[in-house]
Formats: sequence, C-alpha cells, structure tokens
Amino acid sequence: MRNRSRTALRALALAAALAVGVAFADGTWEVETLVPELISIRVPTTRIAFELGAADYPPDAFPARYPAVRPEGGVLPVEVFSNAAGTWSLLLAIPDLVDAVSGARIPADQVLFRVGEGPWQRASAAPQIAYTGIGPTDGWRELLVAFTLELKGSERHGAYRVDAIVSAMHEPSR
Amino acid sequence: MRGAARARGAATGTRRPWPVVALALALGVSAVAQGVRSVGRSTAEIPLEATVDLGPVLQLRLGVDTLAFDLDRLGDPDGVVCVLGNGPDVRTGSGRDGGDAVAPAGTYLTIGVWPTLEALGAPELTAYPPPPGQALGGVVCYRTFALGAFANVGAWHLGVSRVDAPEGVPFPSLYLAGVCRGEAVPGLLPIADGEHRALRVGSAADGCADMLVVVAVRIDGGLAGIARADLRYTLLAADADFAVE
Repeated sequence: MRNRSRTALRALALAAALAVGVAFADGTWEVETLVPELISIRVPTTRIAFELGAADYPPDAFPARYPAVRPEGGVLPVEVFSNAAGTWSLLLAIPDLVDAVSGARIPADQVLFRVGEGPWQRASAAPQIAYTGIGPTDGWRELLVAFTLELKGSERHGAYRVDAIVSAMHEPSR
Repeated sequence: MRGAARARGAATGTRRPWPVVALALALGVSAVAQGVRSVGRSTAEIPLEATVDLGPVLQLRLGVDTLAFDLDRLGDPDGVVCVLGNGPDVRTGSGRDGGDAVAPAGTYLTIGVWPTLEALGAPELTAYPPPPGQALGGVVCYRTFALGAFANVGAWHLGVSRVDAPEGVPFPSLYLAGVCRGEAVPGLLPIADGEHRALRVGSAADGCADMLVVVAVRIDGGLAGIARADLRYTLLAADADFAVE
C-alpha cells in the first residue's frame, strides 16, 4: 500500500517536472544509527577524607571505625551507565595509605567500603568488585559507596594519603 | 585495558564519530558540571584521592583516684591481697630507667585470668597481723588498677613520681609495676619519697592499650594509723611529635 502510494507520488512528481521542463533525479538512502557499546561512570568529587578529632579519638576501645567526613556522610555517589547486554561491575582499588614525612603506613585493609546496605569489604591494592549489575542500566544507575576507616590503636600520627581507583568494567557479550 | 578511557574533567569535551552518541555524552557532561566522569568501550575509571589526618595524641586514664591498702579488709573480693614473704627484697633485674627491679620480700606475682593477680610461692594472709611466730617484716600487700595510656607518637615515656604526705604515719616501702595484657609480671620498681621512676617506655606500635598497674607496699610492722602518699603518673612524648621546637 505504501509502495503503491510512493509510486503514484513519483509519477505525479515526474509529470509535474516534465510539464514545467525541469530535470529530475531520484535516489534512495538508508539511514543507519550505530550506538556503540559504552560504559561510563561519574562522581561528584574525587576526594575521600578521614579526619579524626579530639572528641572521638582515641576511642574507648580499639579497633574503632570512623566514617569518612568527605564526601558528606562518608558516602560517595557513583553513577554508572551501561548500554550493553551482559554483566558490568563496579571495582575499587585502594593501596596502603602512606605518610610522606615519616613513611608510616596504614594498611589498605583498614579501609572498608560497601555499596548501599551491602556487607563491608576490606580494601586492597588489587581491584575488588564492589557491585555487579546485569544488562543495560537504562540511564544512570546511582550506587552509594560508603567508606570507613578502622583504627587498631598502633597507627602513628601523620597525614596519610593514597591514590585510589574507582572503575567500571563491562564483560564483552558472547 | 582495550577501549578504556581515562577520566577527565567535566568541562572537557570528547569527539565521537557518531552524532547521536556525541549528543548523549554532551548531555551527560552538563549534568555533572562539578564532578568527574569517564567513558570507555569496556572500561571506565576515575582516580580518587583518599586522605587520613591523624594528629598527635597522648591520653592517660586512671581507673581509680584512690588506692587504699586497708588491712582490716583482707579477703574481700575487691580488696587488698597480702602475702607473707621472707627476708630482704630480691633483685630480679633492672627497670626501664636502669634502676633496680625487685621481688619484695622474695614474693613473686603472676596474672592468671586477666586482670586477676596471684602470688607465687608465698602464703596469702586472711587477716593481719599474721599468725604467731611469723615475722611482721615479710608482709607484702598488693593491689592493681587499670591504666589506659594511649600515644600515637614515635616514642613515649610513662613515669611515676611519689610524694608522701607530711602528716600521718610514715609510709611503708612502696613498689610499682606496669603490665600489659599478655605479658608476665616484671620485677617491681621500688620508689622512694620524692623519686621518679619510668614505669614504661614505648612507641605507637607497642599496642599496650590495656595496662594493669601493680602497686605493692611492704608493711614491715609499721605503726598503726593512716599513711598517705601521692603518686603522679605522667605520660611524656618528644616535643617534635607535636611540632613544638
């Protein structure tokens, strides 16, 4: 039905063109939309800070846990976008914290994280899976990653820092 | 890492060959104008900086403010423990300050179930004075209390000073020791009126959060009455740890 209408329209256009003496050429283009497989993450800040004050440090007993003071509430909102089928994962890699002046270290496994209300995991320098999703995220999926520091009482004072990595990985479709 | 993209600031743009995708990315950037994002074909990653600010701290907590050796209360569960020793003090070694450490009247201590103190090799008295025929001079009484010494600095020193009260009867011989959980009871440090002894020295990594202080007095058949002494506990660290010059 549609082809018949299209043919009639072409004939009409050709007749009109001949009547006014105008040349006419016809062509067909296919329109293809290629949306590549992508995975993306975004965070509002890249700084995670633990600051201990005299009010709560030292604690009455060790080990003691202290939530991060930055981001607010110790929770980093990580948004993930995936438009592909298959499994995607959010990973965290956090090496030991080091005080540049004294060389003292706080081992990575004294930093703990969890996604939402999930179980706490101890960090390590090797990337660890914090969360796994399946299929497209249908827009941005927000994951709330909470951080806490566990002190055992033997940590020397200092200003410790470390470069950590948050990443998202998509497993190729088979 | 094939297909991975390093994180970039939100203000920077990315060229993509597909107009539709480029439009989608542009919208994503505008939504996180204050943040950071990363995009890739199979991996995306963003570096984070984690910091811990831990200031230098010293803290000293005493479980009691008065320690009474009441010889009328021998045998009370939470009271004083007196044992009958014999002879002079026995030198067992040196304290952390190089001074003598001793076994008062040859009496030795151990800790059974933390923090319960037990005397070794000497009969425990259930009443004072000891039975007839026993020498009064060998009576040694012990008490303990919990002390919390916390330091996160490179080196610290926990010391005790003794100052006797001018009134009352003369204070008997006094001894001290500091025991961390899991340690054997060391020799006791005799401390005289006006003297300072180092109870412990350590570093932040020592991990002696629970310390039991053992205080002993040797009665030596002293006069009846109340004897008082002040013991001042001091936790010291080097000024450099507190950025003081």
